[in-house]
Amino acid sequence: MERRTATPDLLPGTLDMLILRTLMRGKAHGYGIAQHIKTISDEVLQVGESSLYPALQRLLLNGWVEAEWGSSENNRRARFYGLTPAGRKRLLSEREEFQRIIVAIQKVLETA
Amino acid sequence: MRLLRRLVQWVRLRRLDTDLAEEMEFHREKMLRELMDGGMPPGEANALIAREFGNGTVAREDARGVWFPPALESLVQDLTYAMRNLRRQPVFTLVALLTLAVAIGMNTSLFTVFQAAALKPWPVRDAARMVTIHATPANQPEGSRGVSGLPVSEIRFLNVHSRAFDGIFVMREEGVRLESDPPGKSSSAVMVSGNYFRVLGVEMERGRGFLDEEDRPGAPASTVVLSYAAWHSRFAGDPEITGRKIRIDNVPFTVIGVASRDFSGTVGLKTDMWIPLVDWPVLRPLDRSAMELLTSLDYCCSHAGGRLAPGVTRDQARAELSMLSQRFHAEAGKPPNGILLASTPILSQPGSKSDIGTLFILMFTGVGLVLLLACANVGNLLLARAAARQREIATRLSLGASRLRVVRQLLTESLVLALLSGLIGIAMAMVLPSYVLSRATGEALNLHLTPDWTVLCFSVLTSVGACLAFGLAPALHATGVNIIGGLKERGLASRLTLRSVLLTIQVIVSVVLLVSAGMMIRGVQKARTIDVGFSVGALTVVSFDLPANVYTPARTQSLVEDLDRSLDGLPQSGPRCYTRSTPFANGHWFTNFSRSSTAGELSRMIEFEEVSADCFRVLNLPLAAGRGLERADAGRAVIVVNEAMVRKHFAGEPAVGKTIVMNDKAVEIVGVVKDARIVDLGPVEPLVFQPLRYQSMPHLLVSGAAPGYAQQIDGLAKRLEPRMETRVEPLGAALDRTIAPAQVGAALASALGFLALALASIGIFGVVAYLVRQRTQEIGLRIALGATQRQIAGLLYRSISRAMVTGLIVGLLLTVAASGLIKKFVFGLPALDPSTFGAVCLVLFAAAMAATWIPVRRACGIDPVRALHHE
Repeated sequence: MERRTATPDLLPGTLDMLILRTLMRGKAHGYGIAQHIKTISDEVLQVGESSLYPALQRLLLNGWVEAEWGSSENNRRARFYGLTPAGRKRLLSEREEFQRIIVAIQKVLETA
Repeated sequence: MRLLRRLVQWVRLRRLDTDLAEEMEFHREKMLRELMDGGMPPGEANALIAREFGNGTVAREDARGVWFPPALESLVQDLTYAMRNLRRQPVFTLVALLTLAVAIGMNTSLFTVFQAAALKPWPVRDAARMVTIHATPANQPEGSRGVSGLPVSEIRFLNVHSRAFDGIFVMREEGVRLESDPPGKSSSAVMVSGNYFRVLGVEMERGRGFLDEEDRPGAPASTVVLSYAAWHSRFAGDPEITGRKIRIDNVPFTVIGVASRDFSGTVGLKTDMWIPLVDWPVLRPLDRSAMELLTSLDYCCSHAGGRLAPGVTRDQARAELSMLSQRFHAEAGKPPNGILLASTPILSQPGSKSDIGTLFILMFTGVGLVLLLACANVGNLLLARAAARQREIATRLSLGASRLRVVRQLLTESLVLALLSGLIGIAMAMVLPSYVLSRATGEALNLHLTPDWTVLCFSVLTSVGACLAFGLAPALHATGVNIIGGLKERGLASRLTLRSVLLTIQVIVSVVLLVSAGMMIRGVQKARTIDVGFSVGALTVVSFDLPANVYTPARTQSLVEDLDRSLDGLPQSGPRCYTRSTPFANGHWFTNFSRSSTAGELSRMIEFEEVSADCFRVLNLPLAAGRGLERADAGRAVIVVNEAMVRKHFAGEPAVGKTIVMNDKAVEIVGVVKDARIVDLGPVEPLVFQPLRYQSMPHLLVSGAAPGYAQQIDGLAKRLEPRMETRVEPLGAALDRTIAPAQVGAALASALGFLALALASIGIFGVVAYLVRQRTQEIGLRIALGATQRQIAGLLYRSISRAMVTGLIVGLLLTVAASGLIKKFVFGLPALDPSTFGAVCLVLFAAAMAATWIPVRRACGIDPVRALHHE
């Protein structure tokens, strides 16, 4: 069976960065993260569970986020993710790198 | 950190799964609610979610895969499955594990010894550049070994002038006594040049190594460096050891350092201490030769070692040393030496016996055969198991498992077995070699027997190799059957041929090992009862320890004479014999001799022994011609020789009355004694007996000592010299020590032999049990048709008899071929001992009967009705 990877339309690592950025605002559960990315991006970026949950596991494994069970708005058990200091640092460096690449891509698009 | 997190998740694997499932469920619910809040009917919303997010299982597995790569996970699966399978059949597992563990353990142990003796260089930094330096004398005296050491002055000369070496040092082994040494024991000291520790680059545990000033001729500083072991065993690891004054042979020395724990010296036995060469005359004030040793070229044989300069090859270094050596000898007006360089492992030394190489080959063959046998056996057992699991495997294959996957699964099982056995094997290798060697030699050999990473690699490779050897064939076999046939439990006809071959190999190996072991045991028995040529049983050896450096030869002689006179007063007043060394001490004293003083007469080496009058009478060693040594001969130039000497050097002509030159002095042969194995149990070599010279305190030999003799003689000795220690031992004990290595060898060979026998029995059991299983219907039918139990048993015995007989014959032929090699190591081994072979045949057949008993009983108990309904 073919293994799916994270949202193919995004640059590699972008989803991780978006998640980390979202968590800067505070703790959130998986659905909340997906919802936030969707609204902020004017529904351009739709993150499905098949890419969201592997990405979250990856971030957990690297120690950039931590997870704990809590209760959601309507009192259901949900798993909340929060940023760790290492994750914060990671986000900053990722962002710089991403800016650089965006600038580079734009340059190519404008001059070519 | 990542690894730690991974491990934590691993432990809570189930938790990870439920967490993921729950959280995704929550996600979908939220989504559904939102869609329905937006006015979508529930059915449509559900369909949309399913379409958008696809199969939740795949997402979950992807998420899980972040933690555990799928390949790793299936390996873990295989391992758990294998462990479960092995646990389910404890008897099989135990038998297979023990079999393999002992076989791998023996191989690893032998490799440990081999590696220590043949591969490990001196434990110093950059050891590849270290070499030992030897001389090949130009006019070799006949009978010498062809390679010798060098004079101290030549080694010092080479050190000063050589450019190819970073440094060349001297090492001379000597025995000394510390105050803390128990009576009769001595410590091993190595006399070294001042650059020894610097050139070797030995790290020090305490203090420092020698400085060049401490080995300056004419200015001995009496310093000593202790080994780590001696520091602990003799000085209880005294933390204040540096600067402490200790007494070596009653001479005060200052401890300046303790060598690191890993460094046990550069000679054959473990070294207790190192002393600068210039201190040798200080240690031996009464011995004039001690001073000459440092300067004279007549003392040829000190060992030398050196460190090659970076980038210099051995050939270049050898060429340079040869040239320097020629110059040195030309200046001294002596014929030149050849120079030989060798690597530092013990077996690389040119003086070491070439026999040891053969011995290793023999032993590796032995343990290798046992390993082969163990593999064949476990393979056989696995084959039988694979047959029993035919249905399971066929089911898995038909359900779509790839063949590779199933083979991998089966191989994982073998691998688990092999690696577990390898682990036990390494544990064996950590204790067995040192135990066996200490039993065999009784000396502290300078071998580092701790298994290191090479041994570990060897063991793991052996285990994996064994796993493939015993696991692959059954695994391929088991998965190669066609599925339909397998489900019907059929199509196994060709199996027996492979099994018969395995069985034949097992019988062959057992025969070879058992017969070899039998021959060695007979050899040891024979060595015990061997006719040494004189009476051993009644003789008692009395040894005396005198305080060092007090007794000159003259004083020693008068002490012995006083003692001898006072012994007359004891009830035990038969003839008494005083000798320089005791029989079977395996110590050899050589001197040069020539048959006449004419110039040009070849100089040869001859072994000699010093004895007092009456010795031949005490030893009961008969004269062949002339007379024995008398009291009046003391100090006179007369000798007695043995018959071997007459045969070899006088072509059997009467030798009595002839004069020969020994050690540059003319001596007259006054008698010839019969040949006897006095020095060791080997063939009798030419030997000269000369009157005792009292260089050291002689040993006393008496015949038929009564109980209480030891106390009496000790009392008399103490009255003459209160510091004298006395030890009394029957000569038979010395003989036993001589035989000990052969005994250990025989014990090892028997252990191997019986292991092989046990393995073959298991093999036979496996084959017959399998036969019974395979031919259940046929046997049932025969019983239904009226076959007796005897006929059934006969049928089964016939099926293994061909393998047994072939194995016995081939095994016998191989043993005949191998016996030539074994003979070298066991005294007086018979060419081929029919009784040994007969006994082995009997034992083997008895084992075969025992091994077949259970399956045969089972066969005879087969219920024909059930058997025929089997399908």
